Amino acid sequence: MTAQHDGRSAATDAPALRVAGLTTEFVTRRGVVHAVNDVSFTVGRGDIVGIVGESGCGKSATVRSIMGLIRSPGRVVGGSAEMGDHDLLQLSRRDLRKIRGAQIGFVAQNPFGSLNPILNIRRQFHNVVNSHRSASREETYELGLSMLRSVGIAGPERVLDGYAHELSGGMAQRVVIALALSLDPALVIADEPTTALDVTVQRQILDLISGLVKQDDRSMLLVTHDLGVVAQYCDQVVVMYAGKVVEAGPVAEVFTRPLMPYTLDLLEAIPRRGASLRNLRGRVPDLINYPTGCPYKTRCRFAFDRCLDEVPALRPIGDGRAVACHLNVHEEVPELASIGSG
Amino acid sequence: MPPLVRVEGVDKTFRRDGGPPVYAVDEVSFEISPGETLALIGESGSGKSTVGRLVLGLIDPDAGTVEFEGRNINGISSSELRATRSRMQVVFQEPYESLNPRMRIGAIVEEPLVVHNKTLSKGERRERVLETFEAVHLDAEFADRFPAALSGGQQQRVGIARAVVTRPSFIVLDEPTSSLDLSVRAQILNLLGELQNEFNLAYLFISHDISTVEYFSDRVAVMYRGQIVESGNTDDVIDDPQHPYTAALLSAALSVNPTEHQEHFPLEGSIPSNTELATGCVLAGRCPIEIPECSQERVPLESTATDRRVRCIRVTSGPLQARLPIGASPGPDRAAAESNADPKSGEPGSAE
Repeated sequence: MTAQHDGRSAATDAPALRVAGLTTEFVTRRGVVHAVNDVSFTVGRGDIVGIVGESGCGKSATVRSIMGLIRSPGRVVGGSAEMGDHDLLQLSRRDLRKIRGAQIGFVAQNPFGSLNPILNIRRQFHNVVNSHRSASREETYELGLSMLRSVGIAGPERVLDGYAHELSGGMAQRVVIALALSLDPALVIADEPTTALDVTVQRQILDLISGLVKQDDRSMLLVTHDLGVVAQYCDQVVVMYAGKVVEAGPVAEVFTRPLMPYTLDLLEAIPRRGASLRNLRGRVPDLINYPTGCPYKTRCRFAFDRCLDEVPALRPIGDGRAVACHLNVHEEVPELASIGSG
Repeated sequence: MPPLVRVEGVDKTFRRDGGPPVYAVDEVSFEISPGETLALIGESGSGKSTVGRLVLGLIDPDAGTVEFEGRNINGISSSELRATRSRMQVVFQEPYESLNPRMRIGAIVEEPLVVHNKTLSKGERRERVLETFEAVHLDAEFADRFPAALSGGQQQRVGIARAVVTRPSFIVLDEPTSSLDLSVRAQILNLLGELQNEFNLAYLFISHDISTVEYFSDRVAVMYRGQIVESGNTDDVIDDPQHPYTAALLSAALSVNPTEHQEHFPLEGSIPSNTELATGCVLAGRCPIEIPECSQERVPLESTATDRRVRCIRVTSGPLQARLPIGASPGPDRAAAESNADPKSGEPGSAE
């Protein structure tokens, strides 16, 4: 595809997405859940950025906030998400819908939740395109054929005339990707796109989507709990804990020389032959009675008095890296320095 | 030493009224020694969980035998089966779903003793429950709580406590860490390792996660479409996979080291429905080193080395012997494999 991408033609060095100070809460009977706390990160043009963390760390709430999908009792209470000239958080629902699809393609975890079970696939292509511009059935059929071919589907005619339930999980996710890319968006947001798929299919789908993103110079925000997916497919990583960004930077740096103890602990909690497995003590803090100081203090091996009541800010430390930790990252902490490629 | 568990030629097909038969398990054989961990690895629908249920005697095989501690567990009386059950236990994937939400944790852990160890007095049971709480690192104060008040990791500790409280010799672990977060997964794996040493437990560890299997098991059996396609010592199988399916499964595991790029060994298409019975090799139609003979006859599981078995005629029969097109040898061996291959599947996982 060589078409002009919306919002991609102008200032080429402006990032595809710039999120700053994003804060989202959910009001529950027990109190306010602080799900996303002052989250900032940037998705550079042509970059694949992974947001990684354990369940409840706020990664899905972050992308849902950006896409305007937070519904009551949740609310975005602050921050901005700039894409081109727009702040997505300030747009009306109607304007946001125009941007979703046309400029942001979304791939969710469960493909069958994204596909309409009672419309054939051909009709779904038609509807997606016509929600943004008027196009004839012939035109959307041709587009459907070429999009399905581009996601590696050999018999696209048959798939277009069929329904979601006739597809395997991997095929359905290919169709979702084809639909998400059919309006040629500059940014793709994928929320655990392969978590529901079998492992041998997972790699096919990741190869496919990352290839399509890179080939057309799109950008992608990839939410995952799988550190292997980040290591192998992402350029940049944002590590989240308790609704905050605790470390961010190029994957090649962050995963070989982590600076925030949580990142190190996560990497060491992956089972490896001949290596002992890091026992992370304790559990994720309560997001209602949000802790003072560093949210990781009770589980951190390196915590000291300053961590108890002073919140570490996310500070840039050079080489495109940032870390929210009171440890002096330029001093040698033996364990942090030694993990390397372990 | 005789094996603790011996499964020999077990088949299981589920037949429902009005539906096609589901071929779940096809000629599965393996042994597990006391204190040993055998991993069964495979994707969803491979039949690995059905094997777990067969080994526990929860369902009966259509053919073949399951022996535990030297006795065939099929066709024995229900009282004998119950006595056997206290020596074999199970831990499931979803801890919460396997715990009765209306029972307190103490009673949940005690229940297997009430059923199986009728000779214990109330005081002895109480003592055993407390010992078990300690063994799984659960505070005794949890005994009075209900499952919903516990985190996922704590619930899985309760599931494990319930399994070890009768002091079994064998436990089926059916994806015990798959629904848990990374940090909790590490805690549970470490705990299972400790308990194995403490009680000399043998495990059948059912999993789809290669890194966990590599870390946790002594031997591994790889399942695909109801069959074991390869088995051997875990390190040997992972270092040198011989069956193309094993190679594909291993290459799908993503390293967390960004400087380490594994070659991808992809299979064509997706897993066929298990209502279809393969005439020949179960991987025929998806395999990059397939030849016409592959889809003609049933493939036997054959030894290629001590404690190493593979179900692939390309690997086990002399003149056609092929090397998998993975690793650092895309040279002459690969070319030979391809020139023998059916042109239809000619461009296999062309390592791109």
